[in-house]
Amino acid sequence: MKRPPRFGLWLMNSFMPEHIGKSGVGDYEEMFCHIAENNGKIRADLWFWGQVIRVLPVYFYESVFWKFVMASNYLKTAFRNMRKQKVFSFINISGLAAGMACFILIMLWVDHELSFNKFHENGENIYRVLKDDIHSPESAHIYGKLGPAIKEEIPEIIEMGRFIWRYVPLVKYNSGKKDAAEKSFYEREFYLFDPSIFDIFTFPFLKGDPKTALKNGIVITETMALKYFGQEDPMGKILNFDNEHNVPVTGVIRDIPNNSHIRFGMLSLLEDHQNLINWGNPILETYILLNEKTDLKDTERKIKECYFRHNPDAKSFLRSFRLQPLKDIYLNAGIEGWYTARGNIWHIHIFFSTALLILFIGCVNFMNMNTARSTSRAREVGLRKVLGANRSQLVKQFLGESFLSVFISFAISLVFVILFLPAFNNFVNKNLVLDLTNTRLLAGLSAVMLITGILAGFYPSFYMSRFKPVKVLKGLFFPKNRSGPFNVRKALVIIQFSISLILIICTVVITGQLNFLKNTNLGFDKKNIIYMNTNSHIEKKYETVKAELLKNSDITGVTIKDIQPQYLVWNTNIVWEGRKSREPLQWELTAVGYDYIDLMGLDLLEGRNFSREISSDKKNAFIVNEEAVKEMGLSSPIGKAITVEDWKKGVIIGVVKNARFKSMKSMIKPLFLYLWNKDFKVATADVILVKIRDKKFNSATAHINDIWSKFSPDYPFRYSFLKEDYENLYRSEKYINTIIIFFTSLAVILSCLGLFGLATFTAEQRTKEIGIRKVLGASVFRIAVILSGDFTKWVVFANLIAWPAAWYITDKWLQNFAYHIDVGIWIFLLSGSLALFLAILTVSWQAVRSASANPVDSLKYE
Amino acid sequence: MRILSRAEELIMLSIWKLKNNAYCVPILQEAQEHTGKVWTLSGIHIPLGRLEKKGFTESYFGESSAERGGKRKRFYKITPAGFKALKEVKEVERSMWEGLAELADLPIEKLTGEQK
Repeated sequence: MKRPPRFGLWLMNSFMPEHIGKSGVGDYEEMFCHIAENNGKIRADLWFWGQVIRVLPVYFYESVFWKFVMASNYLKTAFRNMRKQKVFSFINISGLAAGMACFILIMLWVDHELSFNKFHENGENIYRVLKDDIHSPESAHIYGKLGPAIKEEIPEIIEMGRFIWRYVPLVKYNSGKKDAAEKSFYEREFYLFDPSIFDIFTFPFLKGDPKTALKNGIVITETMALKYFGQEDPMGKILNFDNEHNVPVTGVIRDIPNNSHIRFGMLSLLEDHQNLINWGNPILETYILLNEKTDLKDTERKIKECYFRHNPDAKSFLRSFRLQPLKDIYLNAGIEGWYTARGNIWHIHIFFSTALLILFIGCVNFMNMNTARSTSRAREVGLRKVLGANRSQLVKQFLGESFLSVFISFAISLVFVILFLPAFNNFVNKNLVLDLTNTRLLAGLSAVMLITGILAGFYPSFYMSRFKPVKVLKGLFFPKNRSGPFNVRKALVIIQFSISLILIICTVVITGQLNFLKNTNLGFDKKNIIYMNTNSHIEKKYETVKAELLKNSDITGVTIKDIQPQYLVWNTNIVWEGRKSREPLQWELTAVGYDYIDLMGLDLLEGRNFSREISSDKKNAFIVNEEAVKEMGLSSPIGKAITVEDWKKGVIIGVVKNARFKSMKSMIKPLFLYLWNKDFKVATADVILVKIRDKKFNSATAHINDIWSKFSPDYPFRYSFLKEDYENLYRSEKYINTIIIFFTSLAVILSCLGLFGLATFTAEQRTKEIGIRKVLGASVFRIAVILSGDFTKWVVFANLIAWPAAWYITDKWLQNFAYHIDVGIWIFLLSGSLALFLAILTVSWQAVRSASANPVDSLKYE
Repeated sequence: MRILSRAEELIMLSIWKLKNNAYCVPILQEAQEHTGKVWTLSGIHIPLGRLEKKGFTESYFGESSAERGGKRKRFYKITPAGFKALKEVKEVERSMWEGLAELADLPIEKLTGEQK
């Protein structure tokens, strides 16, 4: 059977006018067959195409023309309708616009968060080694010697690289030119790397050879180069470290993009610091590049076996090693490691859900308003049906109207986004852009618009196209009964309010938790304390410096510690008297000055403080915290002997109350304090802590500056506030809190707006009823109660749904924190009452207004 | 009531002639045969559409065939109003050609000469 050319046939089928229909196409096909039989396929094809060309332009034009006519009619109707009901349209469109703007902003943020570390070419095969032992949660701090061992012994590991944040050196550059000032900075982004890191990650070198640069000098980033050398070529120039070492610059790396979990400024060779590379101290981050087809579990097992081969004793405490894929690192930054940027998958969940919910509330508003208004369009629908419109045409019309509103809202929301983007960026500390040339973004935005349009529009369209012309035109049309148990409008309001309630409850809980974090007594005094990095000069003359500082009455305390206060990095192996097993532990140890306990305001519970009078204290004294005593199981800890690894022995002389030096997310661990000794330093990141008298900040710091310059003139004086550091611990929680408060308020406003629209509309519907009631003697109050009664019932019902859901969500979130508040019933009651209050306020205003109307006017309608 | 156009009239006559087989393709063949000119399907479809709208013809669906790609045939027949219109046209022609019918057989030169 010969068939006409497929494309031509398709064209015919698509554009044949309705009154000719498919049968007409069949006619063409029949003639085609005749011609094909008599004159061959080619002539038949030619004839067919000839027909297509002859016929198509006219038919096409006609169909388009009529479609255009219809479309312009729909458009005109839509705009007329919008103008007639300005208030409703405004509420609808602005609600949707607000919802969409929020959604877009949040999605920009979420997109950025999800894009972390995607720029590495080998990203799919890069893994970070994590260790899990019985003493601490999973950590990315790994033993230095593990990396090279597994690279050698496990063939699937193609490459291995380690790094560590070193400390804060003072870096200087003197160009030697006459009029150029010396540049000196305390560098906080100084890391030690293996050169093999550049074989694993994509950090392109702009100058220098990645393979040899680190071995021969310092590698810096573009911005660093600019900072120290301006426009000059940095290669070969000498940088001075801590007034001691001079090192040349041997490489320049392109600036690390924003979406990387590690960002560094200066790099030095890791292997130069052999004291950091051993089997005892887990402090380096280790990454591996794995062969593509490798079985992860298998490799993890091999790593464990390799570790045990070198450390047979470790079998008692080490559970396992895990390989964490690169893409999971940023969002699970709760795992201990050397991060520059920490993300949290919870934040993404929270933000994304909130964004969706707001959009949803906007859509629900839209749906509700449109169906409520439907009676005003009932006559139009009836008339159109009489004139010959069928159901699908009406659906298309109303759907089109919805899309029009959505489109307008969308345009407005883009304006909102552009307006608010700078503030938002400022707030979440990022640099998000609305890049309209990005095709992925455009696709996403179009999807949002489409889905919103369909979601918000399909129900009203179907509802309105159902009206029967006879009933409508005769005036017998009544909207569906409002008092039925199952009523779509009612369901929508209940859903809206449930969502708002859940948001309110979550907000209250989050704010409560944050206040708890802020205000919990940490167990030490963080007010009025500043700290600064020491240097060799200061340390050599520490006692003198301290005495000089204390001469100023505005300084109330000076002490020293081996690392910043909130870091207690020295997890190490501790053995005490009476200990049964020999398994090593990972507890916290830090060297402090004599006055540390006083300065920090720690509570001494048993025993005594470090004393200058007792000389043995210098080498042998340990003060521990309550947690340590508990874990060691000692009933009378004073006097018990302690051995730390292989480098310190001593006895416990005192016990302090537990204090929280780390974030609330982690449990308090056993802590061992011993005296700082300038001749025996294990760390090199020491800080001096100074307590300043209240309100005497300026004079105190001026004094410190004097002393500092006197003793270490070539080290500039820089300090940080202890209080600020602790507040920064919860910075991300704080901004989440603010964002949630903002969005919750928005959601509540939208819900109330929707309720307002609905109430207005129902009041309009019932004008006659109200008029009659008034005539029969009802008071304004009574009528207002009747009108608002329904809505308030729905809001109360919404509580029933919201409470369990909110409880579940907040409970799960609070589990993130080792210490958290309890969610009491009062939170639910408070939120419920708030919602109810707002709802009643919204509805009753309208109710009172219509209740006060003059019955003469309302009954005149007859 | 307006008068049928030439094409409409010819199509209706073909329908009348074809009796039970009056669908577009045979109609086209009939028209082509009798006028000697080439007709197109669209030249049939569109006038037919007009005729239906005016109520001069009625249509009903017939069987489909593979030849037609599975689409059904649409058969037409003339309504009483249609017959009325045809008769009217016939009457108009008769009255217009009155006195001229005999002359139609003469050769053309004679006809042009006559007019002077």
